[in-house]
Amino acid sequence: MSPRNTPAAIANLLILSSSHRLLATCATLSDLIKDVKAEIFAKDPTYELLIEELPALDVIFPRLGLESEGDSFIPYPDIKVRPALSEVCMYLHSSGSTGLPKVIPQTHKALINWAGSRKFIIEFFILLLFLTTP
Amino acid sequence: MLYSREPVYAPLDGTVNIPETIEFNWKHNADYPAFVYHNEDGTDHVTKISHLEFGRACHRAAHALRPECDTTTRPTVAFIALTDVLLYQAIVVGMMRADLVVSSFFEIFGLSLRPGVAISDVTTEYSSCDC
Repeated sequence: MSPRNTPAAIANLLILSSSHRLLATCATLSDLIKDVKAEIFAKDPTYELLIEELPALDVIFPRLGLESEGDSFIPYPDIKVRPALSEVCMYLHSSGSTGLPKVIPQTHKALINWAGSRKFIIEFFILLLFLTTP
Repeated sequence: MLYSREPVYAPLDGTVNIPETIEFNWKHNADYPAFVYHNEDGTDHVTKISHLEFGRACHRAAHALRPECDTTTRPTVAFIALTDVLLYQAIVVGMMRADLVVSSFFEIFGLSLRPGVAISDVTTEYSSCDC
């Protein structure tokens, strides 16, 4: 979700996508988070929302730029059931130019297709760069 | 071009979904850069984040966000953050790796907390899920 959205829009999107956990940069977005909590409470006082700080860079990239095979690492276990390609992988949302932003579910299949078309676009631009560089 | 070798692209037939590209890239493109950053020291050295490192970062994010590793359900987690692209992408793909549905928006890279500017992520078109 974009922090450019209003607290009302974010609260609406959280409820529409049934999100009960919100991962956020609580320090840099403290006012926004506070307003979102208030908006949710106003819409539905019983709605549970757990707000968490996102993991720090040095936790996720402890060897930033230097990681090698021998560095300490514990793989995450395999997931129990592989999701079908038709299942939702993530939610994006519309810009909200015609009202409150709407939730746009993205399936695994859609994201794979998207990735494929992006590859084509990038290769096209690299080709263009070569053709136009003297 | 940074590397003379072409990366091995993940197939688009559905046999590899977005989070599964982590393991795919470990197998085929581990040493290949996923992200490249200018260093702040003014030299022409660059910081490279390989697919090995990026994939491990995603796994670390998965551990941090779903430490119980109980992937029998698939809850939605919303993500709203002012952070740099590298951490953002590792967390998003890490959430997918932990079988969480991500509710997110990608038009937020207004603030870079890391020194440097990404100069290339041409090899991440599938692996990093810039979507």
